Amino acid sequence: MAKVFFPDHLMSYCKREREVEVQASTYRELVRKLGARYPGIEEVLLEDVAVAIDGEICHEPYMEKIATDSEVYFLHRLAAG
Amino acid sequence: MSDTHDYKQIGTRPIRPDGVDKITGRANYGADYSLPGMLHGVVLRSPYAHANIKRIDLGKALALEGVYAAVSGADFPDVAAGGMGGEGGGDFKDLASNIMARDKALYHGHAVAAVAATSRELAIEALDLIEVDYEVLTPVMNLDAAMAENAPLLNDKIYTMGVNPKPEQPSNVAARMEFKRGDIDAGFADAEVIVEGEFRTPTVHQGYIEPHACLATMNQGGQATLWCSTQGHFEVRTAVSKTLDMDVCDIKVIATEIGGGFGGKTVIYQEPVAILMSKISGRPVKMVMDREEVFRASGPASATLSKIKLGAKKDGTLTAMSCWMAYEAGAFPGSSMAPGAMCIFAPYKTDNFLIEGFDVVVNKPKVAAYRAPGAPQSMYACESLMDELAYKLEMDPIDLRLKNAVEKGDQAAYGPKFNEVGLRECLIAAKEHPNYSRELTETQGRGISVGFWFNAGMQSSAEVHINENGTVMVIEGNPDIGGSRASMALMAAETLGVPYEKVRVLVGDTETAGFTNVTGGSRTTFATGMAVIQASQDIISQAKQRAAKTWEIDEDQVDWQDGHAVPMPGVNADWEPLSLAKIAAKSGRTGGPLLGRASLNARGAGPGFSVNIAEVDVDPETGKTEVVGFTAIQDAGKAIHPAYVEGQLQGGAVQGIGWALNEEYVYDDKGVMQNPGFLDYRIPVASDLPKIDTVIIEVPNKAHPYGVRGVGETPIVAPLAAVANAVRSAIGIRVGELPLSPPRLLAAMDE
Repeated sequence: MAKVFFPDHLMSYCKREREVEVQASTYRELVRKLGARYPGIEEVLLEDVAVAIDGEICHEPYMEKIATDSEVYFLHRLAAG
Repeated sequence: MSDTHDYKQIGTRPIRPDGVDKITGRANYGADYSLPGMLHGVVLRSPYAHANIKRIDLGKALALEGVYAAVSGADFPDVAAGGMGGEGGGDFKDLASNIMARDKALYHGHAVAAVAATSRELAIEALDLIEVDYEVLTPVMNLDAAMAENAPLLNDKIYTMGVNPKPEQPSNVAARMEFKRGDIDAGFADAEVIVEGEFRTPTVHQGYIEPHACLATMNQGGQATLWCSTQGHFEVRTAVSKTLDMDVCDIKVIATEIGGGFGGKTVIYQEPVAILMSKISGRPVKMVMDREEVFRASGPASATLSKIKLGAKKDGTLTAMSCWMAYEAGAFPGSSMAPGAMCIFAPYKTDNFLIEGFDVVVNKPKVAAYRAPGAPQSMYACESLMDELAYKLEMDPIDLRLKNAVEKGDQAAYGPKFNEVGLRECLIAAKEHPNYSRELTETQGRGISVGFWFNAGMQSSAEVHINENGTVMVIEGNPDIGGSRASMALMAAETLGVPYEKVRVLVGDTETAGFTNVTGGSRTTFATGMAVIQASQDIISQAKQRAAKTWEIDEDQVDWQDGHAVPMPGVNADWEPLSLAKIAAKSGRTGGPLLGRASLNARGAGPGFSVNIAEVDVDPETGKTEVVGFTAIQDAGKAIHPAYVEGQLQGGAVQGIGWALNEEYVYDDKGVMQNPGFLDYRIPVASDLPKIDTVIIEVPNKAHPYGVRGVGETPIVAPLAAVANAVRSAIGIRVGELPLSPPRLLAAMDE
């Protein structure tokens, strides 16, 4: 199962759990499952965060694949100069 | 991967395709465009840093002959609150209020009205006829004042986000964020050495040479065309759409050549005003800021305060790192505090850290992105204190950093584990560089610093067209700021196997190029380059199909080698290789023109690390610092065009040196900037600087076909602390506030 890590700014959504395991093959499925576990988090994870999957930051991860041993970190969205 | 490639074009240093027009003055920048019947628009700006706007009367200005339009906030549509994305973005409602104040002027220079007339002089004359009644309020000009108890409020609807439960009272603190890992108290308890410091950075400007400029025209059908100097015309289109409540398909944006942006041209100021006044007048409207307006009204980088503490073992191993940091956002929420917080400890392995960050509104222009937004300020604090730690441990500062440097598999303080990164390679290159060991005089000092930036991916599109003689036209959507046409041409040439000189690159407008995100985030060579490579691969696939048809063999029996279709080994055919030119010449017979396309949302941007070595000479009589040597070392992944990578390293160094030694907004007690020009806001010029030596490290980014990492932003991160540490070395005193100007250093030395 993929390991999912929540940063501090999502603590109010995820019952203050920092690390959870989720069985999912895509980011979309992962978010759906997290949404069922933590009501209200789904929209935030689809619209307001960037994601690092296995060390690679992705700004629009909707269709990204998740492997069984993937590590998923949520980050603040970043613009840049 | 790039480390196994035998490159023919990549890594060479050809002349940039846009170079001739730029050096001969033919290139057209934002202010160079004109249309028949064009009006000139100018802006009336608030004379107060903080004031309620009680009444605006445009009547007398409109009555002046030659004035065709005058607008104030009431003429713009109401804009719904909504995120623009990114740390420098904020909210579209705030953007609209920044473009034209509604009921409150939030900084000296805030736009409150605008006029379009037949000449700029007449328009300026008309501004004097606009009547505005203000209720003047106390300005809030710095972090201390803004965060003080009972501080005057800029906006009584701001309740600090990120605090649970929601605060009962509004404040100037728009947001609080916290990043942490491990047990910070245990980490400091485990430390054998602890250092603490407080560091301030001033409000500074990007200092792009070309001021904001645009030309807008709207036809009677409500369709607008806009020429403007911008880093991202697709984002301009979105912002205009939101602020004027227009459909994006009614807005065509043409990015002109751009004379510098550095993040400051990722936002808009005059563009909706020009379009609205064109709509009202039925004529084209041109608006060009002067330098004073650029300083008073366009977004600078945040002033910051950081209180930082590091704990380590005697061998230099870090045990705990903490930082309290506050960033000025300017008049509206949305500073670069979050990326600053995410970068500050990124270079180091750390089990225990705590970062608490605050986004604070003040009566200054809304901040905008400035190369690696947020990182120079926070890493100046961290790298200065790392230097103090090295002194305390009596350890070489590079060895201290090597002791703690992250590498593949280490978890970044901002979350994920690093893939291949080149920090250690940069540190080793610095240690071995002759500039690190050459002898210094008594008044000279040397300092080093690490720099870091994430780099971005995001969305890009590209088309590759093959002309009838086999020459290549690349169409992409990123304004060329740092030589990206040359980089795109090199990647297309390398992929297709054609000479660089046979490739041309067009930066298409919003109607000719596919959607492409901003030229920023150090993303263009990485992400748009990837789109160009994929579009070129699409061409190769089509060219192989055409060769197969020509030879009457199966497509999978055709290979592509050095710009030619060739039969695969073992194919029983005696065909001469077909060049791209030969295939293109007969393309009408084999299916029509060759047109390759790609669009993507790039992931896998490779983080960029750098190390800078600064050498300074501080005059003990005057406090003036002369930079006598500077060495910029950075991991580029793969340098597509090394000269432009070196240019990025040198340009970032110059801007960072200015930030460290000279640049700051100076305000009077009424909140009026006293130095809004390049005579008094002093950016470094060539005579201030030594030759800046560069070293390009190449640890390939495996997510890019040629190993590219972004290089545009990281170069500005390390110079602040490198210079500050060199000054510390020269005078023996740590001055924790930038700029390290002669009066400040003299005062410190006198103490």
